[in-house]
Amino acid sequence: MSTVSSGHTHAHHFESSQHEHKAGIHGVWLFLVTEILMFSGLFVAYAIFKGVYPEVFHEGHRYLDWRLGALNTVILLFSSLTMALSIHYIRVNKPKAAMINLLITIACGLGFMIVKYIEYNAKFHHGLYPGHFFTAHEHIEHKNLALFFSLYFCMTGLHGIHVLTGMGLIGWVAIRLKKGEFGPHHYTAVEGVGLFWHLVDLIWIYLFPLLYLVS
Amino acid sequence: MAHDAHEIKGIGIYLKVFATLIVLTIVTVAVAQVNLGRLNTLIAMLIATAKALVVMIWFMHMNHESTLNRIVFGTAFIFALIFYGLTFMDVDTRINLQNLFINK
Repeated sequence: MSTVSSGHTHAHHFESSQHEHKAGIHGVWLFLVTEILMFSGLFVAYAIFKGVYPEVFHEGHRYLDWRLGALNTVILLFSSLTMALSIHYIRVNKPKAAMINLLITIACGLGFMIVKYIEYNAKFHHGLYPGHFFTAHEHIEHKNLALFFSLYFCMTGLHGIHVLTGMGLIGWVAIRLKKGEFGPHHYTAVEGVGLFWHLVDLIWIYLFPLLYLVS
Repeated sequence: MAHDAHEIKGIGIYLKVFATLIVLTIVTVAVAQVNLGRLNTLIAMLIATAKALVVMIWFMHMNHESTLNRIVFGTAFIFALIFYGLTFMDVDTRINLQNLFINK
C-alpha cells in the first residue's frame, strides 16, 4: 500500500510515482475499451433492428421528447467541462476550486438522472415498457413498438447505471481530495475517474441522436 | 516533474471545447428538423463522431496521451468496426431478412 497525504510515496512494486501513475491510467484505458465493446453490442442491435423495422423506430422516437434529450446532452457536456476543470485545478494546486468543480459535476449527474426519471415516468404512465411488459397496445400504429422501447430502456438504462456509478466515483475522489490526498503531482484517481466520466458523456453523444432524433 | 507529461495551460481551451460541443449539439438538433431521408442519420452520426473526437482529444487529453494508450483505445474502435462489419455482412446477404423475424 502506498502512503498518502502530503508525503506521497508510491507502492513498492513501482519504480517511481510516475511509473505508478502511468500503470494506473493505462489500466483505466483498458477498462474503457471493454466499456465501448459492451455498448457496441447494443449499438449493433439497434442498427440491425432499425434496418429491418425503420417504421417502428420512427413511431417510437415520436414518444420521446427531444427537448429533454437535448437538455440532458447540455447537462452532460457541461459536467464534462467541470470534470476537466477539476483536474486542471488540482494540477495547479487549487484544491478548493477543484472541489467546487467536482461537486458541480455530481450535481449535473443528479440533474441528468432527474430528467431521466421524468422521462421514464412518462413512458411508464403510457404503458410503454420494454419487451413483454409493454401494455400500450391500443393506440399504437405498429404491433411491435415494444422492440423500440426494449432498446431504449436497455441503452439509456445501462448508460444511466454508468452515470450513477460515475457520480459515486466522483464523490469518492471528492472525499479523498478533502482529506488532502491529491496534489499537483499525485492525482491518478481523479484523472482515472475523469476519463470514465468523459466516456459516459461520449456514449450519450451517440445515444441522443440515435434515440431522440431518428427520422 | 512526477506526472507532468504535458505543460499546464489555462482553462481557455476547455471553455472553447465546451462551446464547440454546444454549437455541434445545436447543429445536430437543427439538421434533424429537416427531412433529408437517409442522409439525416449519416449527418447525425458524422456530427456525433466530431463531438466524440473533440471530447477524446481535449477533455480526455488524447493529444498528450502516450502512444501505447492511444493504440489501446484505438483497438476498441477497430474491434467495434469488425463487430458491426461482420454482423452487417451477415444480415445484409440474407434474402428473406423479414422472414427471420416473426410478429412483423
